[in-house]
Amino acid sequence: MNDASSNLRNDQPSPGDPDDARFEELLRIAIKARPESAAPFDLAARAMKLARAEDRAHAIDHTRRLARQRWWAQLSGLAAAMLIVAMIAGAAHRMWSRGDIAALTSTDSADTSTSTATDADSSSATATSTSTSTTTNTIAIVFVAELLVLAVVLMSISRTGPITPFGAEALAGFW
Amino acid sequence: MDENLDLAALRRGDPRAFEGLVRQHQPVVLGLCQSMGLRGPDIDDAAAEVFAAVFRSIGNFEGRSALGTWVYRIACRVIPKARRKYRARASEQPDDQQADVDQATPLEQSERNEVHERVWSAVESLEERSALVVEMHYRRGIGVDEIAEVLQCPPGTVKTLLFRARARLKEILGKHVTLREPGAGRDQ
Repeated sequence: MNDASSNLRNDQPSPGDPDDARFEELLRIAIKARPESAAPFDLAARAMKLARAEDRAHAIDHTRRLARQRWWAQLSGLAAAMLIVAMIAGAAHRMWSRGDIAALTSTDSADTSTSTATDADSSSATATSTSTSTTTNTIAIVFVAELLVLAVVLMSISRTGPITPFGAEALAGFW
Repeated sequence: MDENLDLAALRRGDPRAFEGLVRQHQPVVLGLCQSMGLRGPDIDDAAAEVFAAVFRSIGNFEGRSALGTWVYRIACRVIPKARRKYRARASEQPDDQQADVDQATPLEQSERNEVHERVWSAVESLEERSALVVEMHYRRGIGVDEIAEVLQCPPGTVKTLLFRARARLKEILGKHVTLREPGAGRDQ
């Protein structure tokens, strides 16, 4: 601020133009003559109050945005898990209805019958029981796989907290 | 720009230190609000917004420039925004120019004249940055280099802004103001 006079020289009109010099002087006098605006007595207090209100609004906005993001993340995670489960179930159902599992079972039963059945009379009964148990095992494996996927999804959801629409509980916690 | 403020206390958010800062810099901030054409309660609101921004970001002040320069930089960013925000409100209200006159002492009132008021009004009609530069330069006597630091632009830009502001003011005032010897306006 102290070097104002030295700086003024750089931007003043050329000394050869008396009109410009007079205008410059008129400007300076007129602008300096402007009365100062009366300062509100509580300006600092108002500013601090406003700053805190802005901070609080910012924090609420931030919390709300985070909660919304978390909600969408959980929802999409759950949807992905359900899709995987549906795909596995669908594949298992298709295999079952096309008879792939039955074919697998009959192959298994044939193997079982050649390796275990030495008694020709009892071979038919043994093959049937082995076929039933193999089918049950395949279905059980599919269900266990589905349960595992569900468990993983549920664990990941429980780690990030419960699903709440638009983070209502997060906001309640904030207040 | 005498600064005997406790920066550490300011960074801690100490209300007393902040009050000191506000007291020290409010004339310039209020003047900038005036030069941007704000009136009455809008000036108070805009100044409060400026100091609220200062209060919120004082922790980021690194001391690379003078505290005043930093405060005015914030003011130059916040006040034009506030002006745009209040423009609609201001256009609905009657012109409060008279309010300034009423607050002034008889001596101040006698010093004022039509030419001065036209100059103030012409400054308010300038482009935002030009109005700020004119206010800081002519009213507060802040040097070109410091204004450049406040506006974060080269000193040459400030000089150009001043030159253009002068030319524009001459254009606006030329129709109404007859150039007289300096100080002649006071005698009216």
